[in-house]
Amino acid sequence: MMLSTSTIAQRSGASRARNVFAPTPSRVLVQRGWLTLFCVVLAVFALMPLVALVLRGFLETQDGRTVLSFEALHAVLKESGYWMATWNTVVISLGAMMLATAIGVVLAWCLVRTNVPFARTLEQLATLPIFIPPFIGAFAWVLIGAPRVGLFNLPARGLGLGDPMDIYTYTGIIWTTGIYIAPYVMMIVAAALRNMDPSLEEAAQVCGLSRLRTMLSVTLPVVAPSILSGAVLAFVISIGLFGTPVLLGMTKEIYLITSRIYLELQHFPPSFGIVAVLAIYLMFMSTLANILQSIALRGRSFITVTGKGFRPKIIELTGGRYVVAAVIWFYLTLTVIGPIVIITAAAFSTFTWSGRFTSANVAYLWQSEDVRATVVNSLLVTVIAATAATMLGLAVAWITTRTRMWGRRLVEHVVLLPMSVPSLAFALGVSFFWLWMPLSIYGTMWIIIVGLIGRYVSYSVRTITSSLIQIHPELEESARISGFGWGNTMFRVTLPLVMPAIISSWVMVYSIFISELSMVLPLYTAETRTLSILSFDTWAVGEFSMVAALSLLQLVMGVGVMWTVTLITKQRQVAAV
Amino acid sequence: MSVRVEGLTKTFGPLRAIDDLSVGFQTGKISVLLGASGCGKTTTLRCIAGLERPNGGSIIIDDDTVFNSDRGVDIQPEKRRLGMVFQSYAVWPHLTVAGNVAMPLRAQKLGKAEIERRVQETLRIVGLSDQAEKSAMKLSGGQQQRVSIARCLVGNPRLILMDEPLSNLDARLRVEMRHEIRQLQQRIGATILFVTHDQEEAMSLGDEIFLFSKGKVVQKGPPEELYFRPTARYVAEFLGKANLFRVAVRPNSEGASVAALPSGEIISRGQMANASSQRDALCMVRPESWRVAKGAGSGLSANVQEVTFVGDRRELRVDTPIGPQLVVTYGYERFAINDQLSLSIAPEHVHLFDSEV
Repeated sequence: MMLSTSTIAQRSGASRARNVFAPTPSRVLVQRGWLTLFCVVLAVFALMPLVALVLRGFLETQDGRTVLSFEALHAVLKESGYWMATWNTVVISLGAMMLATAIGVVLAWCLVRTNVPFARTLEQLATLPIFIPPFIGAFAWVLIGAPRVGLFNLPARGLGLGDPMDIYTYTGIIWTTGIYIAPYVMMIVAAALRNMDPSLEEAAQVCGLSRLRTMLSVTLPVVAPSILSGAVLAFVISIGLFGTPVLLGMTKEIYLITSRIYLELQHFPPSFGIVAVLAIYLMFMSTLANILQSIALRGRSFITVTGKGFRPKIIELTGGRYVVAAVIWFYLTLTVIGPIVIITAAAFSTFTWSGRFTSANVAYLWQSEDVRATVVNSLLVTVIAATAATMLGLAVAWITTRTRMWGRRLVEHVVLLPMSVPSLAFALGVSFFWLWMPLSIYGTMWIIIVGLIGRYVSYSVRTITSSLIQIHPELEESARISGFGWGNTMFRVTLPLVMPAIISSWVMVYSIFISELSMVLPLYTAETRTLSILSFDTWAVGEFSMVAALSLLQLVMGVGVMWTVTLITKQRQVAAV
Repeated sequence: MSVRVEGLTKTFGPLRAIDDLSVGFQTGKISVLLGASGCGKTTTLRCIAGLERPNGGSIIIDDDTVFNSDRGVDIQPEKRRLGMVFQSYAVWPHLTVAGNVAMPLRAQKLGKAEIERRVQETLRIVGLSDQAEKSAMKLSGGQQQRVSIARCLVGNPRLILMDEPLSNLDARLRVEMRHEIRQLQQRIGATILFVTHDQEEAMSLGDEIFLFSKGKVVQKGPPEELYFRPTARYVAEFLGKANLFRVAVRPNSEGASVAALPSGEIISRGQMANASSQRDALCMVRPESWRVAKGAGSGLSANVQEVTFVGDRRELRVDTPIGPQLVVTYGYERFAINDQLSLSIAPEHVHLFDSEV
């Protein structure tokens, strides 16, 4: 015993002498190594495109030297067409925002707080417009409401009454955009209404306030921050939309910033400076909206999410519930069922709307070499990008929730940054960045994949983080104590527990990627065309029945796969319990 | 000493959760780490487990240095061969009861038959043999607790760490489990470090209590020593209820020290050494140590201000010349407000310690 203590003393003495070299404990070194690698990867994916975009807008190459230049900005400011596009973007986005907020709030309230029959099913149906890609949604409304060819206008034309409906207008664009983004507002407000402590309202009623007064002076102010959040989100999504304004606005020259960018890219050679400045406009507008929101909400987040589920107080409507249900069904028919039926009908028509039906368009999908190649590209890009984004998202979520590594907050911020940048702007940044890189993936499929990951990894991070937060860290710590290393703990405990979140994250980004158009548009080449680009090109040459068939295929590949995966995993979960 | 901690320091930003802590815990005993929340007891436990990385100091388990900041030693938690019961039980919801308990053995890469045998054996010890194939999610809180304990025992750890394991149980179950842990420990002779903020739990369970405050151990010792012979006001007030008042200590003619009330009445003899000159000391009397007689008497006169009946005892708040005192009486005798009492005390029930500087 004496001996051992003295040897320990000697050893520690020797080590103290060596301490001059200050050995860093290996654990910390390993952690730092990982984190550094991680930051580089994330920076390349998420941060550098934004940096490249800003640089591209203000740098010009003159005689081999790079100089600061405001030429592009100047060109944009000088041209009245760009001012018009900015004005149109603001007006249409504000209009769509108000429409979406009105629809979203009313829907959320009716579905959460009243006894409408089948409220749960209706709520799920009402989220569906999100999964109809904007291009396809807009295309459905072209089929319905275009002058001369629109289905709605046909009977009136037959009677010689002209066109009662014209979708190629401000109103048309606002309507189509509004119904596409309304579900986002509805989901946010519905969650707020569910999380609200019902005793807040009960207290008001006990104090003698009427039901209407309670709603106006208690319920509404309490959920107001959520309504505002939903509205700002709607605005930000709206300014970045590409498919809708291009399909509906170009005919009558209602240009938005996104359609202006598209036009500029069609020029040869395109003026990348101007394109970059326009993309910076979009970035600026969405950042401004987010900043205004956080100023407005400062110190006003009343709804504390306790994780405690409240049972919302249901308002009993007697006969009224069927009226409300009928109105909601009518709305769903208009926004979900109608467009899908119309597109299906168009896909089986010889031409729209001839009244004659054929399976030639759908059969063509099988035969066409073009369709096969783009489907393969789409699937490759989508599966690789969705898998990579989910894995990266898992890693970021784990680092930010489970470690105390220095700089983990920074990682989180960098990842969330692209979230408020419109896809088109982000994709341009990706192309600029890789044009500058010596080892370039420009022109390959990988640039599309890298772009998608950078733009959407935040979605995976959010989904998986919220699941990891609910999993007590002690579950992992007890595996470590039980004798498992980091990797084993991950595979035996963490992964099985967050698997539902991983799957839903994968399915979510898959359904976005499979039909993503604006993200791919600045990045594809003839060899890397995707299905969404093919439908867009087909639309440009005016083969509407073919576009309908391609849209149908996209819906099946997107929503179909999503539903199948969700169903299978739900059944497995049921079986496991 | 089976577990030794030397110069341990852990900071979270500006907060010093553990402040240069040096302490040893004995083999085969239950050592209770007691303190209010934020005192550093859980952080100490987690540092020993390897779940937190201390800023400095060393941790030695069974002559095996698991952490030493000077030498850059930091053994990973899975290599420390410990068992731990968490406050949330941390029972893995995706596994069965047996699956949970088998995990530490799987980590040791034991054979299938061996794992099966030891899981069964351990489940029998905690009384869960018939629940082995049940999903862990379907267990009650008490049963999850047992799974957690079984999982902690099954790998024969050299040290068991328990982080407030009973605080999520209801009161009756908590007393029952406390008893079972005590019995289990005595049966297998395990070394347990047990963290709690509950003083009753600490005193009934611990062979030795380590009372933490502000990242340091204020006093350590067997429960009775901490309760009857606290060395600081904080200890006296944290454990149980205490009447504290100042007394003057002075030497008497025989060289022994005597303590006296301001009125001059001597209440204790020979307790404090080296009372060469007169000085102040703090006197602690536990509420149950006062002997109560009704009416005026030779003792300290007291006037009843408040009576609380708590079932097995009555708690009286009384006014005395030395200030308000809490008195506990047992039995059937009733008291009313404004009753006159005379309080006396056996000298051996008086505890004196140096008043704070």
